[in-house]
Amino acid sequence: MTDEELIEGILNKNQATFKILVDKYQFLVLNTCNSFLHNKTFSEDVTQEVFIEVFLSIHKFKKEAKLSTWLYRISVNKSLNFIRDNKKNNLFKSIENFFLGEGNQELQISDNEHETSENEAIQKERIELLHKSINALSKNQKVAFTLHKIENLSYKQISEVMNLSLSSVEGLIHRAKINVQRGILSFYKKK
Amino acid sequence: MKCKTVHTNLIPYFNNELQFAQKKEIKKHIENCEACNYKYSQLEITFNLIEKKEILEPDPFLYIRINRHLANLQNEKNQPVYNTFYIRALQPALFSLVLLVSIWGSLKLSSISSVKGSLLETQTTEFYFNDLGHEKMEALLLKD
Repeated sequence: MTDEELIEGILNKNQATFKILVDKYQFLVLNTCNSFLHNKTFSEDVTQEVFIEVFLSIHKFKKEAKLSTWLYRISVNKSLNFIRDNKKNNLFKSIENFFLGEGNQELQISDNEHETSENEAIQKERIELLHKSINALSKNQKVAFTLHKIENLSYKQISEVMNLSLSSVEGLIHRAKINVQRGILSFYKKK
Repeated sequence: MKCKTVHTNLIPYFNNELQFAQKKEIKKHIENCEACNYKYSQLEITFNLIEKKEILEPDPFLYIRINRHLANLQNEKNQPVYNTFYIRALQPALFSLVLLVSIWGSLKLSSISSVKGSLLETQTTEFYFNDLGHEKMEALLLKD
């Protein structure tokens, strides 16, 4: 079934067509969300939100555009919104924990970390450092860099997803790469 | 070459953006300096972890979850609109009505009590100043 047929089917509220679309694109959506969220449960929740949005606003989809580009755009926006909301929740949780004195939970987690082997701990530290450096980027740099380096999208595809020119995307990715490398290096300089 | 110069050029060196002579010098320094070697290798290992992408397998029940959610949304849509609208509009109206009635009631009660209070006052003064009228026996004795 082609993308045009899928869109036509969903516009006619055909559930079977919508199921085919979910099956066809859930891998793409789930892994795009995970590139930003780095958490399976969160990514699954956002994937669900993405497909609900697709079903409800399919009439807004411009037929000259590619369906995958539209799905990438919704996935990126939903993931960034999730990160923004989660930051607020974490802030409230940390305030709540501060007043309730629930600092022991962190100690328990760090005890479990000691149980893992040293190599795994170093690898985990490196991955966390990489994610931290990517998350410190500006919104546009983060989106362009993640879609290019992690999702392996071409500059042209990224420019379509972000509604930017090719040169802007190129500049964003270059600056993002340098900033991520600076973030990593500054961590090891302190050590 | 000093370590400080190497540090400032470590990122361009890693991205292969330096000229051949400078590149050669930094390479030589990194090979002989333990601290710079450590930093460069950590940068290389950590940055290249981007290539090792974690691939998630889709949830087989995703469509069922989405469908359930969409059904819930549809049910919410089908519920009568007046429910929320009237509750929102009526609640403050009812509250202000109760408030006004209670204010009016308290004002009315206070006016009644002030009228009654003056009557009682006159009765008590009458009782205190004309108590001879209530003690008829004593009055009879005084007459005798």
